[in-house]
Amino acid sequence: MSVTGPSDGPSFRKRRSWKSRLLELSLWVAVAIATAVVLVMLSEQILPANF
Amino acid sequence: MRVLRTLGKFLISVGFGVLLFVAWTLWGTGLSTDRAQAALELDFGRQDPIDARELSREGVQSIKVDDSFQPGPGEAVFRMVIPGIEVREMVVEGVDVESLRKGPGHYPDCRRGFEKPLCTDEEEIWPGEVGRVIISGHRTTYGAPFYDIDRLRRGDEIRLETKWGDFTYEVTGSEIVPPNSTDIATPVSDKPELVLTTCNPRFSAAERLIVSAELSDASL
Repeated sequence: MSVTGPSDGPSFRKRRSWKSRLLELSLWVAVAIATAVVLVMLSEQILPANF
Repeated sequence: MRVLRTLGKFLISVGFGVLLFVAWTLWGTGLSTDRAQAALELDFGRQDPIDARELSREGVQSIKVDDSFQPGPGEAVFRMVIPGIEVREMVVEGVDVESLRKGPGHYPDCRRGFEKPLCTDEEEIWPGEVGRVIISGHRTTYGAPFYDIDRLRRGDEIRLETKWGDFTYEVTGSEIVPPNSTDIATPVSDKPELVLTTCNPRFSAAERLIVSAELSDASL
């Protein structure tokens, strides 16, 4: 008699749709752009006047 | 596991954002300076000639620019040409943040609305006059007009083309001073001199690089 747990069987991962992947990519691009914009806005405080 | 993966993606995105910021600072800022320089060239071309009278005081030949010449912050005042390091820039009035975004700035006096410490209590000096013409410029951002200023050597030419004449200065030396050093920011001198100041080393504001020059030729 053999006992097999759920981890021994084949795993099935649901493939994500291209729309979902595109949406996620857009989110991370937005995060990158937002980071750059915030840094540019803060740059007058960060950078010395004659850098 | 999923949280870690999301955090990793977030940090990578922030990293790309920092890279975008660095690229903007080093190169993107130059785009707005290029546009400002083009506009300043046009403005300068439209300006009327300005009167200047020749002086000879204690054996020193110089000029005195008409007192009616009172440019405001960020206005084009003269053109600076340094053939040795391929610099050709319109110089603006003032060394405040906004003015220096347009190009190198001429150190003004405080009597016309400029605020300390970015101005001097002494009378400001114009090219050709006895005293020290002081010009500050960016080293690595906003077009980096003074990027190669450390390559200037004794005898190199710096030409200032104004609405009252053309003046050629010859480099006499350079020095590195602390960033808070104010000695060099005084326009008082007994001969016609020029001082260029910028940050040192490149990409840092830890020190100031000062290049000094003396008037060698003038044509009104």
